[in-house]
Amino acid sequence: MFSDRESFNRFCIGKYPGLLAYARLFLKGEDREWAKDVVQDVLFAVWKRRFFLRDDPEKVHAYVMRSVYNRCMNYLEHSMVRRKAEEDFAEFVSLARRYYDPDNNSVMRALFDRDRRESISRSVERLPQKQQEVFRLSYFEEKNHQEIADLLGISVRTVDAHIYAALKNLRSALQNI
Amino acid sequence: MRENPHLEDEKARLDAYEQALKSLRDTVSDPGLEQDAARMMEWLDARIDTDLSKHARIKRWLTTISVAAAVVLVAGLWMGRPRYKAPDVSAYENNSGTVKQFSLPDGTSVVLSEGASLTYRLASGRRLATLEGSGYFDVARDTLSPFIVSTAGLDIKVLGTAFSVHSPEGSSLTDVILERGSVRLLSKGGTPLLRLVPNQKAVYNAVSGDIAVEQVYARPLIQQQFSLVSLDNASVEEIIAAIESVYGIKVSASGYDPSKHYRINFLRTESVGDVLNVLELMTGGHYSSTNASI
Repeated sequence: MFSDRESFNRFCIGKYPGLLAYARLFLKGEDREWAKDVVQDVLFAVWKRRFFLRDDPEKVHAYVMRSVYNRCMNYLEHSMVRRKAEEDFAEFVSLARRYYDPDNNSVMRALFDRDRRESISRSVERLPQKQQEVFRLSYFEEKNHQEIADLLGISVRTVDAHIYAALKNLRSALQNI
Repeated sequence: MRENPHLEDEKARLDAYEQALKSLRDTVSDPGLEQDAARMMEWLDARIDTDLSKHARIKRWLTTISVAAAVVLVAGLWMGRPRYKAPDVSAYENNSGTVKQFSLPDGTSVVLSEGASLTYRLASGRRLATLEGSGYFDVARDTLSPFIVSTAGLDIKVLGTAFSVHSPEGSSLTDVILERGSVRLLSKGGTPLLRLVPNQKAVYNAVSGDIAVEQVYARPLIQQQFSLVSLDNASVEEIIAAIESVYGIKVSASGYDPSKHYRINFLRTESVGDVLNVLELMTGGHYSSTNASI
C-alpha cells in the first residue's frame, strides 16, 4: 500500500473529512479539539504500517475506521474516572461503544467513506416524497424536529416517524453498496 | 407501558445514524475544513520526516553497534535484575544561574529559567506538571494522556504544543505565551477560561480573576527569555567563558586582542561552530572547540 508520500498524502486528504466527522461523534464539547489529533495519529499509524496493509480500499477504510473508533473509545474510557460525576457521560460512552462500532456495521463504514458518499445522495433522491422533504429539512437545512413540524404543519411525532423511516430506507440502501 | 427492548435498540441504532449524518454535514460544511486539512498535513509531513530520519539514524547505528549491544546485553543479564526503579514523581530544579533544558520521561522538553522548579508525575492517564517560576514547554504528543501544567494561580491544559509560562513566586499574575499548537487555560477550580491560539499572550490575575489577551510574536519573545545569550562590553575571555558554559565544551583561542571589548548575541540553539565563526569575524582571532566536555 502507498508506493510514495504523494499517494499517501492524497489518501489522507481524501479520508480527512470523513474520519474527522466520525471522531467528532465521540469527542464533543470540551473534547472536540482532540478529534483532529486522533485523526492525525491514525493516519500516522497507517503510514507506519503501510507495508502490511493490503491494497484493498474497502479493507483499508475498515481499518482506519476501526483505529479511530479504538482511539476515541480509549480516550472516553480514560476520562470516565474523571467525569463520573457528569450526568449521562457513562451512558453516552456505552451507547457509543455499541452503536458507533464500525465492525459489523456496514452503514457506519459507508457513511464516512468519501467514495460512497455519492450513493448516499442518490439514495436520498429515491426516498418517498414526504420522507425526502422532511429528511432534507433536517439534514441539509439543519432544522430541528420541532421547526420542521411547525413548517409543514404536522406533529413532531410525525416528523420523528418520517425521519426514522427515511433513515431505515437509507440503511437498507447503504447496506447494499 | 414498557417499551419493547427490540424497538429501543432499533431506535438507538437509527439515532446513531442520524448523529453520524449530522456530524458529517457539520464537518463537511465547515468553511475552515480545508485549512484544517492543510495544517494537519503539514504536521503529519513533519512527523513522518522526523520518523524517517530517526529510522535512518537507527539503522546506521544498529549495523555499527549491534555486536557491542549484544555484548552489553549479555553482560547486563549477568548483572542480574535492575535495582533502580524510576520514581513516580520526577523533580527538576534549576539553580545553575542560567536557563537550563530538561527532558521529561514522556519526551517533553522543558527549559527552566534560573530559580525555577518543576515536578512531573503521571496520574490516572494524565501527565501532571507543577511549575514554580518560568518555563518553556515543548510537549510530546500523546492524545490519550493530556498534559497539564499547574502554577500557583492557573492550570494549563495542553493540546500538543509549545508555549512558555511565567509565574513569579509571590505574585498573583501568571503569563502564558503560545508559540504553536493550542492550550486551554483553567482556573484552579477547573473552570475553563479560554483557549489560546499561536502568538497570543495571556496574563491572568488569580486574585481578581481578570484575564488579558494580546497578540505577540511568540518566537522572539521566547527566544529572548530562554535561548538568547547576550553579552555587552565583554572581553574575548568573557565571551569564551560564556560559550564554554552554554555548550559544555572547552575553547582554545589565539590571535585576539585581550584589551578590546565587544558586544555579541547568539542563541543556544545555534551550533557552536557558527558562534565561533562569528567570533572569528568579529575579533580576528582563531578559535576551535576541543571536545573535552566539562
